Amino acid sequence: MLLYSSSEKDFSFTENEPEHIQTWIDKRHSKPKEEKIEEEERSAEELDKQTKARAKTQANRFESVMAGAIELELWLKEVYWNCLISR
Amino acid sequence: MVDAKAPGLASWVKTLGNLNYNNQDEWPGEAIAIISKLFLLIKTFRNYDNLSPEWQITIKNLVGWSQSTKELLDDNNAERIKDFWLVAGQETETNDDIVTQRNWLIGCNTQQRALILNFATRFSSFESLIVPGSIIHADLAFFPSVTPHRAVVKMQRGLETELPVLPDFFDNWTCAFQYRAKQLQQNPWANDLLVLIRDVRLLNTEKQWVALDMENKYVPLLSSLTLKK
Repeated sequence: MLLYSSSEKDFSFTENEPEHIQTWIDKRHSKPKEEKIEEEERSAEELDKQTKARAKTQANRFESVMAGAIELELWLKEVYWNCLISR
Repeated sequence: MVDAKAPGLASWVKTLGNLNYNNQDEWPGEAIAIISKLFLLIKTFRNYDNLSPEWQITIKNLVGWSQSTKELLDDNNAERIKDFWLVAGQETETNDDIVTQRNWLIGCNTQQRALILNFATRFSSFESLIVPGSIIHADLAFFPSVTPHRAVVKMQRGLETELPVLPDFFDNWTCAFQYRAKQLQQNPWANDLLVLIRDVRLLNTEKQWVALDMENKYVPLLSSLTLKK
């Protein structure tokens, strides 16, 4: 940013930024980091959530397949005894 | 079985339903063979928690959990074999608008057998082009199993015009059946096994084609097989 002043004497020059500016700069620099950490935390949290959801889906599917397999076993016994052995 | 999300079990039941029940001599034996394998599979699945990790994966695949090709290709710990692979056989089957191409390969140096599946639909062609009789210099990645067999091409290095070394051939059908028995001993559900037999002659009988070995022992070929190809 460029500032042009026609009356230079109206401005005072300092080597360091005034306190309120330094605070503002510090805050500005630290903010993205905080946001980034928050984002990382959130993504880790989301990842954990996703993993848990996936595990739950897998567990539900496993239960469903197991129930189906038990029914199929009964049906096979029925087919074996009634259709093949009695033939 | 479809509702229970077990397409593997469903396909066994479907095979049972598709038997030719008009053939009174054949169907009972075929039905018992299918029922026995299916029954053993269900019993093993019900014992899932007591199985080794390799068996757990194998059984889950047989029941109907699909294996991801992408995950296999990304997995650096997956079994990977580099060899000159002879494409010894190919079969294409259409089922419910899905075309499945089975390719049987044998590693000339390792004698490892591999089955590469290729799928196509009405809207998409086969993922890779595999030509019967070709020799592919490649690294194959194998899906985990107690008897690793199904594979995908991980890295193709080139195509050869001549076999660098001949793969091992069985001397006769007896040796081939001994090999099959050994495979079934390791995995009772092993199928799609590739065997190469030395000096086989094809004979056209009145009913069908048979493959005759040097000891004149023969095995009938599938009646649906078209030898013109």
